[in-house]
Amino acid sequence: MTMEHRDSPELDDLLRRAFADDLPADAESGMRERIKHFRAGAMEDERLTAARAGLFRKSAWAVLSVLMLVAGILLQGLGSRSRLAERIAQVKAEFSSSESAPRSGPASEMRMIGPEGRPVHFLGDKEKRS
Amino acid sequence: MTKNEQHEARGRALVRWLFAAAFVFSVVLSGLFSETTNRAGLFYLALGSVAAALMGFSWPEIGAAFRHAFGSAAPRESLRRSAYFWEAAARNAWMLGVLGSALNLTVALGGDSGGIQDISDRMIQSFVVTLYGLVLAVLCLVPATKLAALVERGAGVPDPGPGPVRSGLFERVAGYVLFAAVLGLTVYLLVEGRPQIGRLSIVSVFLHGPALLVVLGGTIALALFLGAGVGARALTMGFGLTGLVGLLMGFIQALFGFVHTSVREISGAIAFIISVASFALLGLVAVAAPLEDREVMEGRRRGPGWLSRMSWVVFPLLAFLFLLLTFIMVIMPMKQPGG
Repeated sequence: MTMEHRDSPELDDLLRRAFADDLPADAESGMRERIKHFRAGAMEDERLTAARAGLFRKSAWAVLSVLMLVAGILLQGLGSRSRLAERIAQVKAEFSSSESAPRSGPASEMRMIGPEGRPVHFLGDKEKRS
Repeated sequence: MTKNEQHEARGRALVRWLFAAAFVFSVVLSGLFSETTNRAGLFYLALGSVAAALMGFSWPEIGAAFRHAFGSAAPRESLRRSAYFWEAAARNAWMLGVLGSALNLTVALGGDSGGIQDISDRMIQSFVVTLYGLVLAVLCLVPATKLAALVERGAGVPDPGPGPVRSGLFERVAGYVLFAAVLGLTVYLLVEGRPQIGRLSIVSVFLHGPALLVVLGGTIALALFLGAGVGARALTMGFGLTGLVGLLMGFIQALFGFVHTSVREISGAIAFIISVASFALLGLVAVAAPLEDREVMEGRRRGPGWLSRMSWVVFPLLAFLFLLLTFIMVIMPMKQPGG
Protein backbone atom coordinates (compact mmCIF):
# COMPACT_ATOMS: atom_id res chain seq x y z
CA MET A 1 0.00 0.00 0.00
CA THR A 2 1.44 3.35 -1.01
CA MET A 3 0.38 6.96 -1.03
CA GLU A 4 0.47 7.00 -4.82
CA HIS A 5 -2.73 6.62 -6.78
CA ARG A 6 -2.49 4.04 -9.54
CA ASP A 7 -5.08 3.42 -12.21
CA SER A 8 -5.22 -0.08 -13.60
CA PRO A 9 -8.50 -0.85 -15.43
CA GLU A 10 -7.67 -4.58 -15.84
CA LEU A 11 -6.92 -5.07 -12.16
CA ASP A 12 -10.01 -3.12 -11.14
CA ASP A 13 -12.13 -5.25 -13.44
CA LEU A 14 -10.64 -8.50 -12.10
CA LEU A 15 -11.25 -7.47 -8.49
CA ARG A 16 -14.80 -6.39 -9.29
CA ARG A 17 -15.55 -9.78 -10.83
CA ALA A 18 -13.78 -11.86 -8.15
CA PHE A 19 -15.49 -10.05 -5.26
CA ALA A 20 -18.86 -9.50 -6.90
CA ASP A 21 -20.74 -10.06 -3.63
CA ASP A 22 -19.00 -9.43 -0.32
CA LEU A 23 -15.37 -9.65 0.68
CA PRO A 24 -14.40 -12.78 2.58
CA ALA A 25 -14.27 -11.99 6.32
CA ASP A 26 -10.54 -12.72 6.71
CA ALA A 27 -9.69 -10.58 3.64
CA GLU A 28 -11.84 -7.76 5.00
CA SER A 29 -10.26 -7.83 8.47
CA GLY A 30 -6.81 -8.05 6.92
CA MET A 31 -7.50 -5.05 4.71
CA ARG A 32 -8.94 -3.10 7.62
CA GLU A 33 -5.82 -3.86 9.65
CA ARG A 34 -3.59 -2.68 6.80
CA ILE A 35 -5.63 0.49 6.30
CA LYS A 36 -5.39 1.20 10.02
CA HIS A 37 -1.61 0.77 9.95
CA PHE A 38 -1.36 2.91 6.85
CA ARG A 39 -3.38 5.72 8.42
CA ALA A 40 -1.35 5.58 11.64
CA GLY A 41 1.87 5.71 9.61
CA ALA A 42 0.66 8.66 7.59
CA MET A 43 -0.31 10.53 10.76
CA GLU A 44 3.02 9.69 12.36
CA ASP A 45 4.78 11.07 9.27
CA GLU A 46 2.78 14.30 9.53
CA ARG A 47 3.59 14.57 13.21
CA LEU A 48 7.29 13.95 12.54
CA THR A 49 7.33 16.52 9.74
CA ALA A 50 5.65 19.10 12.00
CA ALA A 51 8.07 18.30 14.83
CA ARG A 52 11.03 18.65 12.47
CA ALA A 53 9.72 22.00 11.20
CA GLY A 54 9.20 23.16 14.81
CA LEU A 55 12.71 22.10 15.75
CA PHE A 56 14.13 23.90 12.72
CA ARG A 57 12.21 27.07 13.60
CA LYS A 58 13.39 26.89 17.20
CA SER A 59 16.99 26.28 16.13
CA ALA A 60 16.85 29.22 13.72
CA TRP A 61 15.50 31.49 16.47
CA ALA A 62 18.12 30.20 18.91
CA VAL A 63 20.96 30.88 16.45
CA LEU A 64 19.51 34.32 15.63
CA SER A 65 19.10 35.26 19.28
CA VAL A 66 22.63 34.18 20.19
CA LEU A 67 23.98 36.10 17.18
CA MET A 68 22.05 39.20 18.25
CA LEU A 69 23.34 38.89 21.80
CA VAL A 70 26.95 38.42 20.73
CA ALA A 71 26.71 41.23 18.15
CA GLY A 72 25.27 43.58 20.78
CA ILE A 73 27.98 42.78 23.32
CA LEU A 74 30.74 43.09 20.68
CA LEU A 75 29.40 46.38 19.31
CA GLN A 76 29.19 47.82 22.80
CA GLY A 77 32.61 46.51 23.79
CA LEU A 78 34.26 47.82 20.64
CA GLY A 79 32.78 51.27 21.28
CA SER A 80 30.40 51.66 18.33
CA ARG A 81 29.28 55.24 17.73
CA SER A 82 25.93 56.28 19.10
CA ARG A 83 24.21 59.67 18.96
CA LEU A 84 23.25 59.44 22.63
CA ALA A 85 26.80 58.55 23.71
CA GLU A 86 28.20 61.49 21.72
CA ARG A 87 25.76 63.88 23.38
CA ILE A 88 26.54 62.46 26.84
CA ALA A 89 30.25 62.98 26.16
CA GLN A 90 29.58 66.64 25.29
CA VAL A 91 27.43 67.14 28.38
CA LYS A 92 30.05 65.49 30.57
CA ALA A 93 32.74 67.71 29.12
CA GLU A 94 30.55 70.76 29.87
CA PHE A 95 30.16 69.64 33.47
CA SER A 96 33.89 69.00 33.77
CA SER A 97 34.77 72.38 32.36
CA SER A 98 32.29 74.27 34.56
CA GLU A 99 33.55 72.48 37.65
CA SER A 100 37.20 73.31 37.03
CA ALA A 101 36.88 76.82 35.55
CA PRO A 102 37.55 78.90 38.68
CA ARG A 103 40.60 77.02 39.81
CA SER A 104 42.24 75.80 36.64
CA GLY A 105 44.62 77.46 34.28
CA PRO A 106 47.56 76.60 32.07
CA ALA A 107 49.74 76.07 35.14
CA SER A 108 47.20 74.07 37.04
CA GLU A 109 48.16 70.73 38.55
CA MET A 110 44.90 69.18 37.38
CA ARG A 111 43.21 69.60 34.02
CA MET A 112 39.95 68.40 32.56
CA ILE A 113 39.68 65.97 29.70
CA GLY A 114 37.19 65.97 26.84
CA PRO A 115 35.47 63.10 25.00
CA GLU A 116 38.48 62.17 22.91
CA GLY A 117 40.93 62.43 25.77
CA ARG A 118 41.96 65.96 24.73
CA PRO A 119 42.38 68.61 27.43
CA VAL A 120 39.62 71.21 27.72
CA HIS A 121 40.59 74.90 27.60
CA PHE A 122 38.62 77.46 29.51
CA LEU A 123 37.76 81.00 28.55
CA GLY A 124 35.56 82.05 31.44
CA ASP A 125 32.39 81.10 33.27
CA LYS A 126 30.43 80.28 30.11
CA GLU A 127 33.21 78.61 28.23
CA LYS A 128 32.64 75.66 25.95
CA ARG A 129 34.90 72.76 25.15
CA SER A 130 37.44 73.70 22.44
CA MET B 1 -25.19 40.94 52.85
CA THR B 2 -28.22 43.16 53.50
CA LYS B 3 -28.92 46.35 51.54
CA ASN B 4 -27.88 48.53 54.49
CA GLU B 5 -24.57 46.70 54.81
CA GLN B 6 -23.98 47.10 51.07
CA HIS B 7 -24.62 50.86 51.31
CA GLU B 8 -22.22 51.09 54.25
CA ALA B 9 -19.51 49.19 52.35
CA ARG B 10 -19.92 51.45 49.33
CA GLY B 11 -19.77 54.54 51.54
CA ARG B 12 -16.53 53.34 53.13
CA ALA B 13 -15.07 52.60 49.69
CA LEU B 14 -16.06 56.08 48.48
CA VAL B 15 -14.33 57.70 51.45
CA ARG B 16 -11.22 55.64 50.74
CA TRP B 17 -11.20 56.74 47.09
CA LEU B 18 -11.73 60.39 48.06
CA PHE B 19 -8.83 60.10 50.46
CA ALA B 20 -6.70 58.58 47.69
CA ALA B 21 -7.66 61.35 45.26
CA ALA B 22 -6.74 63.97 47.87
CA PHE B 23 -3.40 62.19 48.35
CA VAL B 24 -2.61 62.32 44.61
CA PHE B 25 -3.82 65.91 44.36
CA SER B 26 -1.58 66.99 47.24
CA VAL B 27 1.46 65.24 45.71
CA VAL B 28 0.89 67.00 42.37
CA LEU B 29 0.16 70.32 44.08
CA SER B 30 3.30 70.14 46.23
CA GLY B 31 5.24 69.56 43.03
CA LEU B 32 3.67 72.66 41.47
CA PHE B 33 4.73 74.83 44.39
CA SER B 34 8.23 73.43 44.56
CA GLU B 35 8.54 73.67 40.74
CA THR B 36 9.25 69.97 40.37
CA THR B 37 6.11 69.12 38.40
CA ASN B 38 6.74 67.17 35.24
CA ARG B 39 3.63 67.81 33.13
CA ALA B 40 4.75 65.55 30.31
CA GLY B 41 5.44 62.87 32.91
CA LEU B 42 1.98 63.22 34.46
CA PHE B 43 0.34 63.01 31.04
CA TYR B 44 2.46 59.98 30.12
CA LEU B 45 1.77 58.13 33.37
CA ALA B 46 -1.98 58.75 33.43
CA LEU B 47 -2.66 57.78 29.81
CA GLY B 48 0.10 55.16 29.78
CA SER B 49 -1.57 53.38 32.71
CA VAL B 50 -4.90 53.37 30.85
CA ALA B 51 -3.18 51.96 27.76
CA ALA B 52 -1.36 49.31 29.80
CA ALA B 53 -4.65 48.25 31.43
CA LEU B 54 -6.30 47.90 28.01
CA MET B 55 -3.36 45.84 26.71
CA GLY B 56 -3.94 43.19 29.37
CA PHE B 57 -7.65 43.33 30.27
CA SER B 58 -11.03 43.53 28.56
CA TRP B 59 -13.64 46.25 29.24
CA PRO B 60 -15.89 43.97 31.34
CA GLU B 61 -12.91 42.92 33.48
CA ILE B 62 -11.87 46.55 34.03
CA GLY B 63 -15.47 47.57 34.81
CA ALA B 64 -15.88 44.71 37.28
CA ALA B 65 -12.59 45.61 39.01
CA PHE B 66 -13.82 49.20 39.53
CA ARG B 67 -17.23 48.02 40.77
CA HIS B 68 -15.65 45.61 43.24
CA ALA B 69 -13.24 48.30 44.43
CA PHE B 70 -16.32 50.40 45.27
CA GLY B 71 -17.65 47.60 47.41
CA SER B 72 -20.17 45.78 45.22
CA ALA B 73 -20.68 42.14 46.10
CA ALA B 74 -19.46 39.46 43.70
CA PRO B 75 -18.53 35.78 43.51
CA ARG B 76 -15.18 34.87 45.04
CA GLU B 77 -13.55 34.06 41.70
CA SER B 78 -14.62 37.42 40.33
CA LEU B 79 -13.17 39.18 43.38
CA ARG B 80 -9.91 37.27 42.91
CA ARG B 81 -9.66 38.44 39.31
CA SER B 82 -10.40 42.02 40.31
CA ALA B 83 -7.70 41.84 42.98
CA TYR B 84 -5.31 40.68 40.26
CA PHE B 85 -6.38 43.59 38.02
CA TRP B 86 -5.47 46.11 40.73
CA GLU B 87 -2.18 44.35 41.41
CA ALA B 88 -1.41 44.52 37.68
CA ALA B 89 -2.39 48.23 37.61
CA ALA B 90 0.04 48.89 40.49
CA ARG B 91 2.74 46.93 38.68
CA ASN B 92 2.13 48.87 35.45
CA ALA B 93 2.27 52.24 37.24
CA TRP B 94 5.56 51.34 38.92
CA MET B 95 7.19 50.05 35.71
CA LEU B 96 5.81 52.92 33.62
CA GLY B 97 7.18 55.40 36.16
CA VAL B 98 10.73 54.08 35.85
CA LEU B 99 10.37 53.73 32.07
CA GLY B 100 9.22 57.36 31.95
CA SER B 101 12.32 58.40 33.87
CA ALA B 102 14.57 56.50 31.45
CA LEU B 103 12.87 58.07 28.40
CA ASN B 104 12.96 61.52 29.99
CA LEU B 105 16.64 61.13 30.81
CA THR B 106 17.34 60.06 27.23
CA VAL B 107 15.61 63.15 25.86
CA ALA B 108 17.34 65.40 28.44
CA LEU B 109 20.77 64.04 27.57
CA GLY B 110 20.20 63.43 23.89
CA GLY B 111 18.86 66.84 22.94
CA ASP B 112 20.77 70.06 22.59
CA SER B 113 20.88 71.77 25.94
CA GLY B 114 20.59 75.37 27.02
CA GLY B 115 23.58 75.07 29.31
CA ILE B 116 24.48 73.04 32.35
CA GLN B 117 21.76 74.50 34.56
CA ASP B 118 19.08 73.62 32.01
CA ILE B 119 20.28 70.07 31.45
CA SER B 120 20.71 69.47 35.21
CA ASP B 121 17.14 70.62 35.84
CA ARG B 122 15.78 68.38 33.09
CA MET B 123 17.75 65.37 34.31
CA ILE B 124 16.45 65.78 37.87
CA GLN B 125 12.92 66.35 36.59
CA SER B 126 13.10 63.04 34.78
CA PHE B 127 13.26 61.22 38.13
CA VAL B 128 9.98 62.83 39.22
CA VAL B 129 8.12 60.48 36.86
CA THR B 130 9.21 57.51 39.00
CA LEU B 131 7.76 59.31 42.03
CA TYR B 132 4.43 59.68 40.21
CA GLY B 133 4.53 56.03 39.25
CA LEU B 134 5.20 55.00 42.83
CA VAL B 135 2.32 57.11 44.16
CA LEU B 136 -0.06 55.63 41.59
CA ALA B 137 1.20 52.12 42.35
CA VAL B 138 0.55 52.59 46.08
CA LEU B 139 -2.91 53.87 45.24
CA CYS B 140 -3.70 50.80 43.12
CA LEU B 141 -2.34 48.46 45.78
CA VAL B 142 -5.04 49.59 48.23
CA PRO B 143 -8.00 47.94 46.39
CA ALA B 144 -5.74 45.01 45.44
CA THR B 145 -4.97 44.32 49.10
CA LYS B 146 -8.57 44.84 50.19
CA LEU B 147 -9.99 42.51 47.56
CA ALA B 148 -7.30 39.88 48.17
CA ALA B 149 -8.17 39.98 51.89
CA LEU B 150 -11.86 39.50 51.05
CA VAL B 151 -11.02 36.47 48.93
CA GLU B 152 -8.85 35.02 51.71
CA ARG B 153 -11.62 35.56 54.28
CA GLY B 154 -13.97 33.67 52.00
CA ALA B 155 -16.27 36.67 51.55
CA GLY B 156 -18.41 37.14 48.45
CA VAL B 157 -21.54 35.51 47.17
CA PRO B 158 -21.48 31.80 46.23
CA ASP B 159 -19.57 31.06 43.07
CA PRO B 160 -21.88 30.22 40.12
CA GLY B 161 -19.02 28.55 38.26
CA PRO B 162 -16.69 29.78 35.55
CA GLY B 163 -18.35 32.40 33.35
CA PRO B 164 -17.45 33.27 29.76
CA VAL B 165 -14.10 35.03 29.37
CA ARG B 166 -13.65 37.50 26.51
CA SER B 167 -10.28 37.57 24.81
CA GLY B 168 -10.49 41.37 24.55
CA LEU B 169 -8.78 41.62 21.17
CA PHE B 170 -10.30 45.02 20.43
CA GLU B 171 -9.15 46.40 23.80
CA ARG B 172 -5.66 45.03 23.24
CA VAL B 173 -5.31 46.66 19.82
CA ALA B 174 -6.72 49.92 21.23
CA GLY B 175 -4.30 49.65 24.16
CA TYR B 176 -1.27 49.24 21.92
CA VAL B 177 -2.34 52.11 19.64
CA LEU B 178 -2.93 54.35 22.66
CA PHE B 179 0.40 53.35 24.20
CA ALA B 180 2.29 54.17 21.00
CA ALA B 181 0.47 57.50 20.76
CA VAL B 182 1.24 58.31 24.40
CA LEU B 183 4.94 57.55 23.93
CA GLY B 184 5.09 59.66 20.78
CA LEU B 185 3.20 62.57 22.33
CA THR B 186 5.32 62.47 25.50
CA VAL B 187 8.52 62.69 23.49
CA TYR B 188 6.95 65.50 21.44
CA LEU B 189 6.04 67.38 24.65
CA LEU B 190 9.56 66.90 25.99
CA VAL B 191 11.33 68.17 22.86
CA GLU B 192 8.75 70.87 22.15
CA GLY B 193 10.34 74.29 21.91
CA ARG B 194 13.73 72.81 21.20
CA PRO B 195 14.09 73.18 17.44
CA GLN B 196 17.67 71.89 17.50
CA ILE B 197 16.41 68.33 17.86
CA GLY B 198 15.27 67.02 14.51
CA ARG B 199 12.74 64.20 14.26
CA LEU B 200 15.35 61.90 12.78
CA SER B 201 17.99 62.68 15.38
CA ILE B 202 15.65 61.99 18.31
CA VAL B 203 14.89 58.59 16.80
CA SER B 204 18.61 57.94 16.43
CA VAL B 205 19.07 58.93 20.08
CA PHE B 206 16.52 56.34 21.22
CA LEU B 207 17.65 53.54 18.90
CA HIS B 208 20.83 52.45 20.61
CA GLY B 209 21.72 49.42 18.47
CA PRO B 210 23.87 47.37 20.89
CA ALA B 211 21.36 47.77 23.74
CA LEU B 212 18.47 46.71 21.50
CA LEU B 213 20.41 43.66 20.26
CA VAL B 214 21.39 42.57 23.77
CA VAL B 215 17.86 42.92 25.20
CA LEU B 216 16.10 41.26 22.27
CA GLY B 217 18.70 38.52 21.74
CA GLY B 218 18.96 37.70 25.44
CA THR B 219 15.20 37.62 25.95
CA ILE B 220 14.54 35.36 22.96
CA ALA B 221 17.38 33.02 23.96
CA LEU B 222 16.13 32.75 27.54
CA ALA B 223 12.50 32.29 26.47
CA LEU B 224 13.55 29.47 24.09
CA PHE B 225 15.63 27.87 26.81
CA LEU B 226 12.73 27.93 29.29
CA GLY B 227 10.36 26.45 26.71
CA ALA B 228 6.73 26.99 25.76
CA GLY B 229 5.37 25.31 28.89
CA VAL B 230 6.39 28.24 31.07
CA GLY B 231 4.20 30.60 29.03
CA ALA B 232 4.57 34.35 29.26
CA ARG B 233 6.62 34.01 32.44
CA ALA B 234 9.56 33.11 30.16
CA LEU B 235 9.33 36.56 28.56
CA THR B 236 9.04 38.31 31.93
CA MET B 237 12.15 36.53 33.17
CA GLY B 238 13.86 37.11 29.82
CA PHE B 239 13.36 40.87 29.82
CA GLY B 240 14.08 41.17 33.54
CA LEU B 241 17.25 39.08 33.61
CA THR B 242 18.63 40.34 30.29
CA GLY B 243 17.98 43.89 31.43
CA LEU B 244 19.82 43.24 34.68
CA VAL B 245 22.78 41.70 32.83
CA GLY B 246 22.85 44.70 30.48
CA LEU B 247 22.78 47.17 33.36
CA LEU B 248 25.70 45.40 35.05
CA MET B 249 27.63 45.23 31.77
CA GLY B 250 27.20 48.95 31.23
CA PHE B 251 28.16 49.74 34.80
CA ILE B 252 31.34 47.64 34.62
CA GLN B 253 32.26 49.33 31.32
CA ALA B 254 31.74 52.72 32.95
CA LEU B 255 34.03 51.75 35.84
CA PHE B 256 36.69 50.76 33.30
CA GLY B 257 36.14 54.12 31.63
CA PHE B 258 36.85 55.92 34.91
CA VAL B 259 40.00 53.86 35.43
CA HIS B 260 41.17 54.55 31.85
CA THR B 261 40.01 58.21 32.18
CA SER B 262 38.19 57.78 28.88
CA VAL B 263 35.13 60.01 28.49
CA ARG B 264 34.23 58.15 25.31
CA GLU B 265 34.09 54.82 27.14
CA ILE B 266 32.10 56.26 30.04
CA SER B 267 29.57 58.02 27.80
CA GLY B 268 29.16 54.84 25.73
CA ALA B 269 28.48 52.88 28.92
CA ILE B 270 26.01 55.47 30.23
CA ALA B 271 24.13 55.45 26.92
CA PHE B 272 24.05 51.64 27.08
CA ILE B 273 22.69 51.60 30.67
CA ILE B 274 19.90 54.08 29.89
CA SER B 275 18.94 52.31 26.65
CA VAL B 276 19.00 48.81 28.18
CA ALA B 277 16.77 50.03 31.03
CA SER B 278 14.36 51.58 28.50
CA PHE B 279 14.14 48.56 26.19
CA ALA B 280 13.85 45.98 28.97
CA LEU B 281 11.13 47.98 30.76
CA LEU B 282 9.32 48.56 27.47
CA GLY B 283 9.39 44.81 26.83
CA LEU B 284 8.07 44.09 30.32
CA VAL B 285 5.26 46.66 30.08
CA ALA B 286 4.17 46.12 26.47
CA VAL B 287 4.90 42.44 25.81
CA ALA B 288 5.42 40.22 28.85
CA ALA B 289 2.99 41.74 31.38
CA PRO B 290 -0.10 41.84 29.08
CA LEU B 291 0.50 38.22 28.04
CA GLU B 292 0.74 37.14 31.68
CA ASP B 293 -2.44 39.10 32.42
CA ARG B 294 -4.33 37.23 29.70
CA GLU B 295 -3.06 33.88 31.01
CA VAL B 296 -4.39 34.67 34.49
CA MET B 297 -7.70 36.21 33.37
CA GLU B 298 -8.44 33.35 30.94
CA GLY B 299 -7.81 30.85 33.73
CA ARG B 300 -4.76 29.22 32.17
CA ARG B 301 -2.88 30.00 35.38
CA ARG B 302 -4.04 30.73 38.92
CA GLY B 303 -1.82 33.80 39.31
CA PRO B 304 1.61 35.18 38.50
CA GLY B 305 4.62 33.24 39.76
CA TRP B 306 6.90 34.64 42.44
CA LEU B 307 9.70 35.07 39.90
CA SER B 308 7.44 37.24 37.74
CA ARG B 309 6.42 39.31 40.74
CA MET B 310 10.07 39.73 41.68
CA SER B 311 10.97 40.79 38.12
CA TRP B 312 8.18 43.40 38.14
CA VAL B 313 9.27 44.89 41.47
CA VAL B 314 13.03 44.42 41.61
CA PHE B 315 14.08 45.11 38.02
CA PRO B 316 12.46 48.59 37.80
CA LEU B 317 13.95 49.42 41.22
CA LEU B 318 17.43 48.38 40.06
CA ALA B 319 16.94 50.22 36.77
CA PHE B 320 16.03 53.37 38.71
CA LEU B 321 19.13 53.03 40.91
CA PHE B 322 21.30 52.60 37.82
CA LEU B 323 19.70 55.69 36.26
CA LEU B 324 20.64 57.61 39.41
CA LEU B 325 24.18 56.27 39.02
CA THR B 326 24.30 57.46 35.41
CA PHE B 327 23.21 60.93 36.60
CA ILE B 328 26.08 60.96 39.09
CA MET B 329 28.50 59.70 36.43
CA VAL B 330 27.43 62.46 34.02
CA ILE B 331 27.84 65.31 36.49
CA MET B 332 31.02 63.93 38.04
CA PRO B 333 33.95 65.92 36.60
CA MET B 334 36.86 63.93 35.22
CA LYS B 335 40.39 64.84 36.07
CA GLN B 336 43.78 63.50 35.21
CA PRO B 337 47.19 64.52 36.53
CA GLY B 338 48.42 67.46 34.47
CA GLY B 339 51.86 67.64 33.00
